[in-house]
Amino acid sequence: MVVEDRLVSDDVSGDDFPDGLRVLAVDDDRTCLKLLENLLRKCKYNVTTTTEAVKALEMLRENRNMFDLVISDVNMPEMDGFKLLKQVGLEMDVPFIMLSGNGDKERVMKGVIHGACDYLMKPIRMEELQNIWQHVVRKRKKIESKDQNKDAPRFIWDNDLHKQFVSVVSQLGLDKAYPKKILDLMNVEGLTRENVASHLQKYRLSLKRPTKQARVDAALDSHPQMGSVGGFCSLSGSRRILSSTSYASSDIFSRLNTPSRLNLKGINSSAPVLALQSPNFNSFKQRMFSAKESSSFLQGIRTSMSMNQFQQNSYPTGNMKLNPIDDSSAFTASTSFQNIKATVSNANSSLSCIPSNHLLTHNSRLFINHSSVGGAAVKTELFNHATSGSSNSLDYNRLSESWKSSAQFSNFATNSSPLSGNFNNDQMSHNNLKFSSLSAHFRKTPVDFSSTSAVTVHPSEEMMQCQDGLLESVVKGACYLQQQNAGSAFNTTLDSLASPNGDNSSMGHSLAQNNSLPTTQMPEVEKFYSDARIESNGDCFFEQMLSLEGFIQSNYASLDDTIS
Amino acid sequence: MDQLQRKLRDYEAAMFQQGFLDDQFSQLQKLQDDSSPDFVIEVMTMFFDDSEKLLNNISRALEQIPVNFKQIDAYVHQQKGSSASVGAARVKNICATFRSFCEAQNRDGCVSCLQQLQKEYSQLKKNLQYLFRLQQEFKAAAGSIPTGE
Repeated sequence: MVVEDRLVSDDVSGDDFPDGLRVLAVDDDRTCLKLLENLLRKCKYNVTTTTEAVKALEMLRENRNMFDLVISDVNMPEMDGFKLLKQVGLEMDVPFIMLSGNGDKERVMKGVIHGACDYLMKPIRMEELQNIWQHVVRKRKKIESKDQNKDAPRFIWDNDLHKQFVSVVSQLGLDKAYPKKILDLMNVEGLTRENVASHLQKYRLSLKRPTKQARVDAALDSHPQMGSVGGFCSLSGSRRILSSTSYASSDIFSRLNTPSRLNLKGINSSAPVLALQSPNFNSFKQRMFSAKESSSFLQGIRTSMSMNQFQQNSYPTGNMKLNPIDDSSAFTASTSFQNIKATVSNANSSLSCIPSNHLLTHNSRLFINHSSVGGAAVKTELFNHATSGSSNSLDYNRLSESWKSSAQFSNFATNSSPLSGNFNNDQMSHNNLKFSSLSAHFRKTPVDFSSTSAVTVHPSEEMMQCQDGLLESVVKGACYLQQQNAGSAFNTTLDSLASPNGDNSSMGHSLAQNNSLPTTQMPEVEKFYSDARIESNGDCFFEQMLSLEGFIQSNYASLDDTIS
Repeated sequence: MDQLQRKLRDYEAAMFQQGFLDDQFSQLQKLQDDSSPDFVIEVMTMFFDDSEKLLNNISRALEQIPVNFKQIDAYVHQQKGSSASVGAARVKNICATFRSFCEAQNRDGCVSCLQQLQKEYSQLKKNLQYLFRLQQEFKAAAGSIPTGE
């Protein structure tokens, strides 16, 4: 009888359930095993015993459906309970209960983390065993609902694959992208038309969303490369961020982190960007990094935009009034972005940050959509700078035109172009690496961003995992920016940033000046990051972020006022 | 027969009272039924065999130079587990102390614990064997061992 075929309802509705539950008991101690066996028999379960974990594994492998439940001792010679648990978890999805005379929290935690359904203490009592059937029911229910939710076998769309998909779709043109064609062009083994079709559907949906996000998506869409990035970003999340002064980051970030979304490595970068901007870093923290989605980028951008807005004091971005918090927040973000960018991207190259790139892409789109954006004096400058170091000049140009406010964006755009299509970890990691070095620079010395190398900020992976919230993401974003453009320009920026340590208050002003911004900003970023957890990015990074955060926060406050 | 029954009951009670056995042993007794009429004896026999082997291992390990405390600790841990499972309370308690000596790498402490362990264990075995004999006698006379009161 195949376990999987038995529906939960079939089992539990039966009068004799859980009688006959097939349990495999493993314990190297004969006495304990005999006791366990009898206890289980008393519960009317069907028991099979073995004193060796290896044998148990063999039996399970012979027929995965032979047992409903495994209960095993932890301390065993040769293969201990944890190892057995892991193997069983990997190979077959049978509920696994651990048994031990040692109830240390660490051990129990280990069991839980490895996937054990329960952890029982020896000596075992009848009462405890009488209810173990619940784990079987629970597991079956889970499997059942999973099956119901998917019609086709699950197919994982990883970053590379998605990139490939996006480029193929861009090639064909979104309108003409039929699953069959995409499938053929992608030429990936094991990929079915159904997989492509459903992925395409999701992609299209994300592009069509009639929300700010959609706008962004649309904007992105125009740039095939970018679009791909944006399309998948759960911009909606970002939208939310922008719209609420409070930056309900959780939403955004959760979106961002939706693995289903683009697994753009770039997203990481966006996260950082966001971090920069939103004063609610903490809330963002968690999500920011996990999201591989471009949405995070967007958000980052947005956030930055809002921040920028505040920075308006320095920028003549009158239009920043765009309600940073609402849909147009995108603009706001851009404004802030600008500032940030100015600071960060003085070097143009800074945009190297992948996230930023994406963000830029998004932002650029946003900006395009929101004509009100305007006002970015910085923008121009940034744009000019942006190109440095990034091969995305394509976007850059485009962006420069459309972005009024954020030169930064252009930078991003620039960067993003390569990213959009291929936002991949490679770049990010590249950037990441650089970033850290960058951050270091920021702090103290002129950063010498070599274009790609700079940021150690680990865009995709590390960033993503960085659950530290906005701050981190922001930092990352910043890093990315820098990374991307690790060009000489960047260095300049960094230098300036690095120099005025502690001159946070002037940040705003400096931002206005673009050039000075970096300088001022850096110190703040550093400050900002003092608690940041981006270990991976190095301490410098953190510091940078800290200061950046501080900066952002101050700006944010003003933004709030503006908005309200 | 009544006398036998009473004798059996009192002896059993005394074993619990004196801490030789704890509630877990009662659990074992509850598991004994028509489908497994000699369950307790079977389990305890296994326990005796395994314990004797373990105690020998521990003894040998303590004689080695240098002493492998980790290995001894593993043995003791095993002994603790099995004695806890069958309800051999006193034996189990000594194991706990024994483990801390192992951790402290105190050879003398370990040796002393081993001696205690051996003493408790043999006492328990003797007592249980007497109990089983009584039960067998009763069973022979009455047809089944009185379970609980």
